[in-house]
Amino acid sequence: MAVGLLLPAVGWGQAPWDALDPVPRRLYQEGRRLEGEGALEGAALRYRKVVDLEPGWTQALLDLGRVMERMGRLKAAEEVYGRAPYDADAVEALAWLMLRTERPERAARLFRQMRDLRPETSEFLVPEARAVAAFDASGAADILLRYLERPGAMPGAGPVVEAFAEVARRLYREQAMVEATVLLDRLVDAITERNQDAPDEALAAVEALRERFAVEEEARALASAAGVPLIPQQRAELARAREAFAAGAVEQAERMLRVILVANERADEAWAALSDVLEARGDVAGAERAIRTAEELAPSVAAYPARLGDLLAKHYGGRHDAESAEAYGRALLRQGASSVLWYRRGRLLQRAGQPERAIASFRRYLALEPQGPYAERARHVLDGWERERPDPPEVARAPGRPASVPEAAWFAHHVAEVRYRRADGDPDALRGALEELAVARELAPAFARSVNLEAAIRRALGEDDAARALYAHSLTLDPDQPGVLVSLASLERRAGEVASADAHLVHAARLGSADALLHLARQDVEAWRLLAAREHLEAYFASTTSGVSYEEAVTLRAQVDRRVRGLVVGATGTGLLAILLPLGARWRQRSGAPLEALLRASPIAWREVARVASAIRHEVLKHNTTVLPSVADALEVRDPDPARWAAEKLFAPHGAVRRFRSYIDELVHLGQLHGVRLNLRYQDPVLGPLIAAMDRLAGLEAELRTGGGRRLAAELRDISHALNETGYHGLGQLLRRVCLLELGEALIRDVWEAVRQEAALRETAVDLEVTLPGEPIWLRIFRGDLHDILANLLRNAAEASQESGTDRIGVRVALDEDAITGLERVAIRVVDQAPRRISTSMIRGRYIGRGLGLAVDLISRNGGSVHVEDEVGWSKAIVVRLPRVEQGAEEEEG
Amino acid sequence: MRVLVVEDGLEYSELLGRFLPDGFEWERAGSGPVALERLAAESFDAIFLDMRFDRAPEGELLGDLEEVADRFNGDPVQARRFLEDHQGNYVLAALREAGRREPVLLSYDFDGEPRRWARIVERYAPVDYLPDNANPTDIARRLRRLVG
Repeated sequence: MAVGLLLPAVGWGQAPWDALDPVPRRLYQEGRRLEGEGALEGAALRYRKVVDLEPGWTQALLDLGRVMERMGRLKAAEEVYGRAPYDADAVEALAWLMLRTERPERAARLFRQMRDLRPETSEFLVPEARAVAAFDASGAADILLRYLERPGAMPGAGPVVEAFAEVARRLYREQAMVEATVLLDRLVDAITERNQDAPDEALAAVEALRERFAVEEEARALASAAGVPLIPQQRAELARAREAFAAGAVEQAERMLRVILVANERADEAWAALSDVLEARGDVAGAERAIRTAEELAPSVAAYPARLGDLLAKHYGGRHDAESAEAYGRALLRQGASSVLWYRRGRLLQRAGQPERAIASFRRYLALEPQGPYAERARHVLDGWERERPDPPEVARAPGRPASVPEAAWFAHHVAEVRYRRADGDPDALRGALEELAVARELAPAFARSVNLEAAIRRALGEDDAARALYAHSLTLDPDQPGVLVSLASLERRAGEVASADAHLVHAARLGSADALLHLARQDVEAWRLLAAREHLEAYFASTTSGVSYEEAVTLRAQVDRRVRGLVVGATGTGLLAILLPLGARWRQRSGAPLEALLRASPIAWREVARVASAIRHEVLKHNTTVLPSVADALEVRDPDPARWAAEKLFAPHGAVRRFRSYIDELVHLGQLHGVRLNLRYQDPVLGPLIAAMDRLAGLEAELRTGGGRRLAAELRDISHALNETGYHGLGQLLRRVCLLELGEALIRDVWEAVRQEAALRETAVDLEVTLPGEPIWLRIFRGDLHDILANLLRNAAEASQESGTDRIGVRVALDEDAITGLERVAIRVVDQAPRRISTSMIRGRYIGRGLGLAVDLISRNGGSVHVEDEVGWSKAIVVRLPRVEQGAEEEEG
Repeated sequence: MRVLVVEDGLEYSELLGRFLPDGFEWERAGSGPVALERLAAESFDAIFLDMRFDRAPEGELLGDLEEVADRFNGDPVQARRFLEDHQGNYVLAALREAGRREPVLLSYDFDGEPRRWARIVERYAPVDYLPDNANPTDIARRLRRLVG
């Protein structure tokens, strides 16, 4: 709940609404009372008012949504919950609503979001699976199997059992018999493993389903059997062929089997024997064909698909593991007690990158044969999976040693830094740090970080003048160091050089230094420059959401607010009011930040901003305000009907005007979530004029409904221009310019250099070749994301090359074109000569290394794909494809 | 002029029918398959084609979901969204593949994607586009120009 964002913290014994101001608190309590009495309309009215008064307090939104649901106004409830897209309770409520109203894809997305919003619980995996089951039963089964592996899973709970049964039924309907059976088996095993009691009725239903699947499957096999049994002479000949084969007379055995098959081409046993013979002769494809024929003729014989599974697993080096596991699955349908097949299936699924199913197979094996020959290995594999492995933190890699700084200086600098940190103000220890640092300073005199470190040490020793001189010198080496500017300003202020100190603080603030902004705000407050203080604090909150000074900044902001309120309350004289009211209005206009500030402070908010901007263009402007010129044309010939029609569309409860305002609210709320107070109306160059134009339009509602005249027509044309031309194009430009990144050789080489700084590759002889098309390549991706993707692929390629003794890798960038949409994708081909085999499913299965798993996630998140492909002159190419952006292209669709 | 409006909602049909009643006859098809059926049975002077079809039932979306999913690491949700967002392109391609040569006016903003637009014109002409902020008068003017 977002109370803490806007309202004071709630203490023990207080209700959450106690923190509200008196008016919303009273309304909220009335709403609860009315809801309790069943007066839902009245309750909704009050909750809605609370939402208007306290838009950041999501409890009222949740209550309003619930009441809407109780009144059967599901669309309205959906709209209400949707206003808090990051609030876990609201997302959960919306997810359940979507599930109830049979919109499974949206429900699935929302439950998926709950995994991030409530990472501590796995309870949402079950409803997520139920939602996913509506369009992807197999995916739903994976989710349920994953659920069983979570520590808090309750396989015996009624809703869990029901979900398993529902997904199993769907799988069965889709002919995925093996998956359906495995799912139910796994559930029953899990209930036993965890010693849980399941409701008898639910468990009986599961047992009945298993039974039904088994019976029907067997019946189906019997019904489709087309084999013809061997007559005694043929059977004797088959025995002789087997003997010949066992004695090594392979060709003779084949001839004998073919004779039998000429006489009885539907003899499944002969086909199976022929498969063994052909394999021995090296004809693997022929062997596969023969055993498939045997299975086709006698689908109820478990040995045939088991044999097919062996064949595929043995001869194709992992390329057909999934198919092989599928064959084992068919065998297990007929012979579920064959523990070794469960184990083999698990190994194949593990290799094929299907961890949930692999785990289920290993667990089935252990349930059947806890002390079996593979039990220890199966447990070992499961232990490896069960370990919680957190993703590596997604932060930028620490900058490595600059080329201009020798290794010895780099190391000496860090020794000195450690000594400085440990000195704890002790002068001797500080001087010891200076001695270490002298080595670094001598070897790399232009290394600004060493200069800064010496300045800090001198300052700690009380040598302020020396420290000031060193900071000043550091700024000649690199003038844009915010931390140095703030430190220097502090020393200058202490020395009475106020003007120079202020200039350095302003410079640091321009560079985005939160410390500098806070210093400036503090000075403003001392001098009663309240508007300036407010502005500096807004910039501070836009630049940081934490830090040692954050609490102080919050206190300072409260102090500024109190002073301004005090001024207003104390201003009784008309003259003073005349000064303060415009001041207040100006303050409202000037406080808060434009949308750009949010994107600067939290680039990660970009996707949400883009979604809302796109929705304003497509749901508000398109089909709605675009009719205004036509309405104006009609008014000029005294036809009022189009104006009335447009008024209905624009001002209806879910009409364009309200939708627009709710989108603006959504952006403001998004800003709050990222610690940025937005002022879109007065500060944003794109949305400000749009809001003003929409307000003007709203002011014309009555005139539009009555028809109006030529003056109204002129005004509508004016508003249309602001909305449909200036606003539409402004939003387009906003979407176009953010998050663009050029993929060039310098960027690729930078990443490669960073990878080469890592310990494992520091001495590598592997060389990188880069080939790019002769035109600029633009992507819409965060620099950090692209860096991590490339670094992981290059690291893998280099390490594999190093292990195999090859010394070349390459990055080849090409363009792929989609014939239907005309869209281009950038294919980044990371090539190497290492013989290590790898497949697309292995990469996507993500078990070959956490680093690559992270890269695959990042690629998916950026709308891309990864494949393993052949490359002439190389052993393989790992190919990442990402959408290409035409410079200046639109992000959205229409 | 007889125009087939291909859109998954009713917005354009309603809007164009209301604001451009004279000189035009507007007919609607709610999906690519329906559009193909109507074009096989009736004669139209032009086609007005929306781009995004996010309300069309899954079975009525043109395009191979599995093939598209492969472009998104096998993610069917992203693939479905891609098909919805670019359904106009898929309908246009299907029309031409079926031998339909009627001029097509796409409702989509290609202003920022000149290379992509050039590729579409090269493959699927006669075709033109109007961005989403176009008003009914713009649409009428552009259709007349396209039909000649």
